[in-house]
Amino acid sequence: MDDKRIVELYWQRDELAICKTSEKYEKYLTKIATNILENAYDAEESVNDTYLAAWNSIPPHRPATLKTYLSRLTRHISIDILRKKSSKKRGGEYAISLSELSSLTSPDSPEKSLDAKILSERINDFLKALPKKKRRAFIGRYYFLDSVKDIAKYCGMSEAAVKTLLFRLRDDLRQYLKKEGFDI
Amino acid sequence: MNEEKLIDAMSYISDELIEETDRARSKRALPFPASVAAAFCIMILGILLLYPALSNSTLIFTEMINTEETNGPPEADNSVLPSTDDITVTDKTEVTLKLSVTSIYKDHFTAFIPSEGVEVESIHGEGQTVVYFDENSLNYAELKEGDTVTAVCLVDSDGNYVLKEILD
Repeated sequence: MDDKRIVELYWQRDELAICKTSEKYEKYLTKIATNILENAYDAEESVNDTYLAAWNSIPPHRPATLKTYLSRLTRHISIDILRKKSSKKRGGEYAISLSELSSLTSPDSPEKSLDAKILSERINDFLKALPKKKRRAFIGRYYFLDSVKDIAKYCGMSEAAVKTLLFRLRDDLRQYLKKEGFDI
Repeated sequence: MNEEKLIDAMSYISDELIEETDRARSKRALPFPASVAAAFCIMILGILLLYPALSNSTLIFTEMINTEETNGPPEADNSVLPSTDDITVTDKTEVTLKLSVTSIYKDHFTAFIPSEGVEVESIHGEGQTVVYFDENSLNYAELKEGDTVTAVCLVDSDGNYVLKEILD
């Protein structure tokens, strides 16, 4: 069933929408959740919460691309689950990519100066200026939380080259954000 | 700045960028060793396709030898590259490489070395073959993506390539 039809089912409040979403996207969403949570049980919980969140948010939303909309929900929900558990222990690709991004940050900077949405606009501009291959690697790592091994596969590069590329991109992003006035 | 805010900020990147990456993720490019194998197959195919032309060159070369016997040795033509191979070792520390330019940036470019089966950047990278490009010896404005250039490189003590001169 195509995505427009599935979204239409959500708008008609037809529970078949959830079945069709699950049939089509369960594997995809589970991969995203597992990358972050590294735990099958938590990932399953995250994906189920994604269906519920989709049910509660469509309507009023009418996503142009259902797959991307669902990926955002799963990412948000999985990160929330992980943060709830973070007081105990962090793990998975999320923790690794988080520690990589932490090299961009200064612990002394006031958090008040940061607005995630404004920051994301600058990151969008930064990413749009990159060549496709570099952009894919960066988004693969820091949005989808894919492993370096997976990124190497779909970018057609060696793992060492991916690591080098990500290192350079983090450094470029740090310089760019600094130039844009972010206190890093 | 808080790193968790950066992770949050990544949640708001545009749909267009997410979809572009997602397409690449679902297509799953050839694994790296398979890419090398594919590059090797393309090289073999290229040699097979060029075989008639090479045979013709052999005939011309034979004619040149015959001419040499009667007219004496011809003058050396330095404009002709030493070999049609992708890599030619000219001495212990200098090699001639054919590089295929894949991307050009402000301060560097990336290139594919068919003979090595790898893409390289003009930076030093951990565990990868490296080509250092000296900005003074190359006008980037003249290069385009897809261009094939022949470069003389020095091999440093770590086995990395250091660009000496672009030949064409």
